[in-house]
Amino acid sequence: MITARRLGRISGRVILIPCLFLLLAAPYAAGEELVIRAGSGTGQTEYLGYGHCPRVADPKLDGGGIPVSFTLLQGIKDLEYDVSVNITSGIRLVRRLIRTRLPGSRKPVELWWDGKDQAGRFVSPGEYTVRVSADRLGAVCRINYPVDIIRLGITEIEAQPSNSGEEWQMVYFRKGSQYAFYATPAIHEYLNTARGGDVSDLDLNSGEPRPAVAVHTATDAPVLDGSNYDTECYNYPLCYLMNSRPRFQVTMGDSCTMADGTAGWCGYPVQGVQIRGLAEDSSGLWESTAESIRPGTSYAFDGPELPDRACRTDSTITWRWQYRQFGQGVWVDIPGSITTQHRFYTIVNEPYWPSGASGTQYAGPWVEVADYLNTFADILKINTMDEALTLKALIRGYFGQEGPLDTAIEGLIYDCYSMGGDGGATHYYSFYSEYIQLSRLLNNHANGVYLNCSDVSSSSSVMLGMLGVQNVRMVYLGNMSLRAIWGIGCPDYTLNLWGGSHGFSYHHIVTRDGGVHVSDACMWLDEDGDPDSLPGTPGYNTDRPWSGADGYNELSATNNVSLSLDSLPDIQ
Amino acid sequence: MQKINAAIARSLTARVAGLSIILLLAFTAAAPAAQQSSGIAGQRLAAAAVRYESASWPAGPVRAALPLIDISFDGYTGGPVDFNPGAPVIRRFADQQGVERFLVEISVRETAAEARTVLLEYLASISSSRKVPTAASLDISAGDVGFVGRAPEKRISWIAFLRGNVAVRVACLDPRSDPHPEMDRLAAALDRQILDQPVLQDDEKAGQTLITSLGAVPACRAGDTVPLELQLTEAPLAVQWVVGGPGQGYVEQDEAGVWRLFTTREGTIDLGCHVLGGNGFTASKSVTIEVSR
Repeated sequence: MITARRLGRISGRVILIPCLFLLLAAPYAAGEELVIRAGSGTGQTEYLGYGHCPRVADPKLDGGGIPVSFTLLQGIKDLEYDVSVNITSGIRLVRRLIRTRLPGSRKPVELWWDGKDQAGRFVSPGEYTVRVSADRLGAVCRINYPVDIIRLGITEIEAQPSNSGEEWQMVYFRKGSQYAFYATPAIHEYLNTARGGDVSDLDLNSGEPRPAVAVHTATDAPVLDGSNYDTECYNYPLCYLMNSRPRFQVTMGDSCTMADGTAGWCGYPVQGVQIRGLAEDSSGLWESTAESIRPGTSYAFDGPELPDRACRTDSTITWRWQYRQFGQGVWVDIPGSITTQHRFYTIVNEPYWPSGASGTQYAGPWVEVADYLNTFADILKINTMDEALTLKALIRGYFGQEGPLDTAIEGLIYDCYSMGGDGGATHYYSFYSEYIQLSRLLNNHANGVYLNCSDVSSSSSVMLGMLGVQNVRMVYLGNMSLRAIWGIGCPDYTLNLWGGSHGFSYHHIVTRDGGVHVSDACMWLDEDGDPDSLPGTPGYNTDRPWSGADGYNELSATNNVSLSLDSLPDIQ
Repeated sequence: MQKINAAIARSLTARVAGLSIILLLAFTAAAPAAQQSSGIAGQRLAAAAVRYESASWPAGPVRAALPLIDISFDGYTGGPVDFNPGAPVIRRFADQQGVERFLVEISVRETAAEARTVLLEYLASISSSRKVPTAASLDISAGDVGFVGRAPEKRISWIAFLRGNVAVRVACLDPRSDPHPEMDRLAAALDRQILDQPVLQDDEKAGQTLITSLGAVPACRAGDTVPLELQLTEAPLAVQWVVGGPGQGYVEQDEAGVWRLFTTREGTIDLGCHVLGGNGFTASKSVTIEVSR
């Protein structure tokens, strides 16, 4: 009796020669003991036993290939077998895996076919047979394992919300040396297809598998192919509501490169066999109900819950596949996997835009802004789990000059005489057309290193809005006789902002509750109890009450300052 | 775009006229509670008009064209035209080491009155309580009227001036850095280039690049690429496409020069085309496309 432990389910047949005993093996479950009975009446012991060989395989997967195992009966001491293992396609020899002499052993002989032919090229998808032959003193036993080589791979991933309104596109604002808005494509944020000159989507022309696309980590510009946007390969970051579950609509590639370098079919579905996909990241399994995948079609995978705060999360998803006889039995792993990297930005609420806003810049949060928030929250150790804490992180991070944030955002400086500027002119905001050139401000202060309160207020308000802070508005303040302030980008508190005078003809700040509380990334107030003298103690202006002893009005100015709500500006 | 700019200018002119009295009240009265204000910009503009006596500014003649791409300054190289509908056209200039030193913002309007409003905007948005000096008071020859933002050490941060129907701001990108651009020389040079343009007679219209047609198929599927038929009266200096949602996409020009809309999300797209002519005037047209899943 020959015994072999099956690692997976197989179907195949054993031909025993010379006794001409034929046994058709039935499908077996993983781990099942397979017993092959030897022929009898000839006095000859049968000696070759089944091991394992997957019925379906894709050798181009990472770690993919075809494990082949069998056992050789342990018999008379020093007796060896002439063993050969060949791969055939019909009657054509594709690959000679081994031809050698081996002793019998209780341990199975384990081999690995890398899916390549005798010339070292990956074989084309199709039906193959792994033929194991063992010859002992002229008596030959054979096992034939049928294997279907297929080509699995992902060409597109469309990020979707599990619940409506929980997922948004993200926006870039640069294109080469120009300014142009680009929203990540909603139809597929991940795309990995044939580039110009390539014959297939899943493979390179050499037949080697096309690598997965790395996450695009630039925050200002999308992926370009020359001077145009790339339409073939990209992997853009994704934006979801915190605590939500991402859904990926995954499209299987439908063309691969054959051994002769031409484009071809991916070899599945395999008749009588179901194939399904599995996905898993460090947080757990991605659920899917798709159990009979086909090339060129797409399937939904629901991921684990995203973090409960506004942040950036990088995730590696491992994609594996399994097969089984149609509708029956346990699923068996197809050896190998692929991994894709994904970057998730979570925000605390849906983006809040200016009334009537229209244009690509409003398609969703800007990557650069979401990334800034993540950096600010990390450095300032603010758990951005709601709108108030998001505001706190953004306003304090915008002002910077705290801990490792040694400058203000983009190195900006308040436009005042003592810092080398002039009288506080706007450089990014238009008072009258009511727009903020946020793209220029975020591009290394392209309109100049100086900015004034309107620039700060307008840019911080729209940044907060796109990060999900609701009802945020600019607030216009009338003239102010200032107390000690610390201006953005300035080294310390001052009582002499303009070189001889210390007041504002107006000031612009931010509110999210109609002016009851206000925020200001343009300057910190002095909270040391004596706001009319130096030095000062930082009083952060994040949701600070407007009125009262510690209110913004009292700490910022000696006069009673007028306050008017202003609208959220358009974004350029 | 031109219509938009003209509308803005008209609106602001009306604000200036109508809100002068309100302005004085608003600036002297303390307002303890938040008040809804739709006229803040108008108030600021009116205040600036009074403070800088804009009624007495000379109004120069309207000129036909300002070839933005030909603007040049000795010792500096101009960057690409930064055209954003509704905003002044910007060009940044780098020194011989390739370091960007200053930028020029230019607003070409149909009338001198509209250009005057742009200059007032610059002045009104200064948060210092100081009044900035005129260019003439500093012996700087720039425009019919001009103003100067001064930095320490006798450096100039910016010069904003008006020359007929053209409003300009020349701004140093970092007045602290060396070598500091000679801002007065740059402003004067730009002013001369504006003056070199021909003056229009009253019955002449300013030359404009016009969009004669913009067409596209009315419907497509997300992922489709839609060719756009755009016909102009002359080669533009810049074209900006604004893809209004909820549909999404972007527009690029192919090798044959055909503009194409690449759709990336279903929904209605209100596609706006904004063209900047070489003369600084702008034109706009839009088309609607239904993008299905």
